[in-house]
Amino acid sequence: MSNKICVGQIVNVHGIKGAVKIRPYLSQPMDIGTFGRLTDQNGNRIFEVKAISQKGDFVLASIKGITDRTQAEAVKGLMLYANREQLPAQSEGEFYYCDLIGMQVLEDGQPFGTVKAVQNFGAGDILDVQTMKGRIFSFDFSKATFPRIDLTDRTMDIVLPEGMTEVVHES
Amino acid sequence: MTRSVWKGPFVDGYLLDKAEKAKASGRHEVIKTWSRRSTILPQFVGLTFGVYNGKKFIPVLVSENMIGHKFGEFAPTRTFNGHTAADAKAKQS
Repeated sequence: MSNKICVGQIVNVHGIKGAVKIRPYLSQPMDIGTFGRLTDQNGNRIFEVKAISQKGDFVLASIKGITDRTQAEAVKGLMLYANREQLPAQSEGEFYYCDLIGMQVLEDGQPFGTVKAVQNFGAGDILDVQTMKGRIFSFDFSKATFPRIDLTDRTMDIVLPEGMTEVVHES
Repeated sequence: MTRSVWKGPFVDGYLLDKAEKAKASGRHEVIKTWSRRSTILPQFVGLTFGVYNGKKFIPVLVSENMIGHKFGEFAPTRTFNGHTAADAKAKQS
């Protein structure tokens, strides 16, 4: 599994001194400047991004080594990636979406499916699990449903709640 | 007094019965419902409902601040295909 996470995209240039407009994919847009070193998708190019100001959903930023508009235009459209290790540590019972997505789900030690997405519609976090048969079911992200989550071997156990057992096993 | 106040909140009768049974049993259970129109009542707090969105059952764990809202508000019927935050965190309840 790749440990690179897309944290933003350079969407435009700003001014003549090499500033760029970034659309961050972060809960706090200005945090784009706290990562220090970001890379492109392949990890070939390194960008040291410094956030200048926030304009709505976008952040104006400067990138070390990019000093004029022509250089800035050359990086327009580029996606910016950070390593998973660069994200701040989470507290007890909290998990990054990127850690959960792709995890293998086991039921009584047998493969049950894979976590496809994490959703929150206002009533707590929900995991979308794709079963081995290909159907997707949603489960509340609670300790009762997922009693064990192992980030090192990327597996979690599921205890199907009553009411969902027959729905899952019939399909 | 407005009409909506004297009429009281609407809840499908069968849902009340199901919730009562689930609360009495105390088991780890999802109460499946198609009644998106039902109002969330105080006696539902702590229970998990599986609200049908036309395709699948969306788990809705009822908390105190959801009282007075309808179940359908927590189970959207359309898919959002946007970009989620890279640092988004899920908290296990």
